[in-house]
Amino acid sequence: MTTHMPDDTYGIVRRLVGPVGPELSCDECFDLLDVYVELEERGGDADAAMPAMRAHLLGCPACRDDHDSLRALIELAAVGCAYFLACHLARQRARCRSRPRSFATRRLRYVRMPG
Amino acid sequence: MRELHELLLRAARFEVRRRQGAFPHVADADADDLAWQSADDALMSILRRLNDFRGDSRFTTWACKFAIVEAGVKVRRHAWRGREIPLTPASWPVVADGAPGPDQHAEARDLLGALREEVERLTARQQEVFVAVALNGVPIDVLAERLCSSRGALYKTLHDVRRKLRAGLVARGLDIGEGNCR
Repeated sequence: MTTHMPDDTYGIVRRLVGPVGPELSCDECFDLLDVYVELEERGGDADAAMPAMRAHLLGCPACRDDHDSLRALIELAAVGCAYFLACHLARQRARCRSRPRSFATRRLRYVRMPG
Repeated sequence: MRELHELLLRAARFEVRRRQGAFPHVADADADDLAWQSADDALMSILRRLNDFRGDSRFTTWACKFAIVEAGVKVRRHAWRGREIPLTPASWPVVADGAPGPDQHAEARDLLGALREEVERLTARQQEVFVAVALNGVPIDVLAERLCSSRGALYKTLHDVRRKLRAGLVARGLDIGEGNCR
């Protein structure tokens, strides 16, 4: 038995009776999950693009867990990639600093027009 | 193929470790075994459904989705193995004593009472699904396994139940609003 204050009652009942409006099924949610998560990752308005997906995630704890995990995984991968790239560039800059020609000059060699 | 399996294994391990927070009694040795099984099953699913990939997302995201879902289901089922599923409303919410005002207390009690009456009007199967998943927080995959059903079929039942309950409350003149609560 869970005890709560009267102010919380509407919230609890709303959670129990779930979201309002059209909702995807679990299978449809699975099919679109990767697209939805990437849209979120890019900063797009995923909820506006797929309102029925958001409703389903609010109502289905298992699909919500899957969503949260996939999102966390690709964010971690993105952070990992950015960190790897930053380390790689820092190493490259450090190598270039030890040589007479600067990193910037060395990079410019590839964009300078011939002649 | 080996690289794909490695990617799936990394994703599955990530998911198993995340779920271990909620189910700390899943031992580390079991966790790695579950991750391997999940990666294997995810690879089989991907090979079966390769034609479904339309390039709307990165292939790695699409593939990791299979491993995440497989691992999540396996951990939840493993954690609930041997545990009884509560199908009776033992944890029905109750309004606390010492509410700020008697009116608020009565209103909250009436709302919960009305919901409980609406639940009692459901069929036995609908009550089981609602009580287990919505009220007692049993993972839907675990219940699906015990009832020899699927996540999709049970969620459809839950969705129909919720619509019925909401309509029942509205018919009683109780408007609970449209806000979504996680």
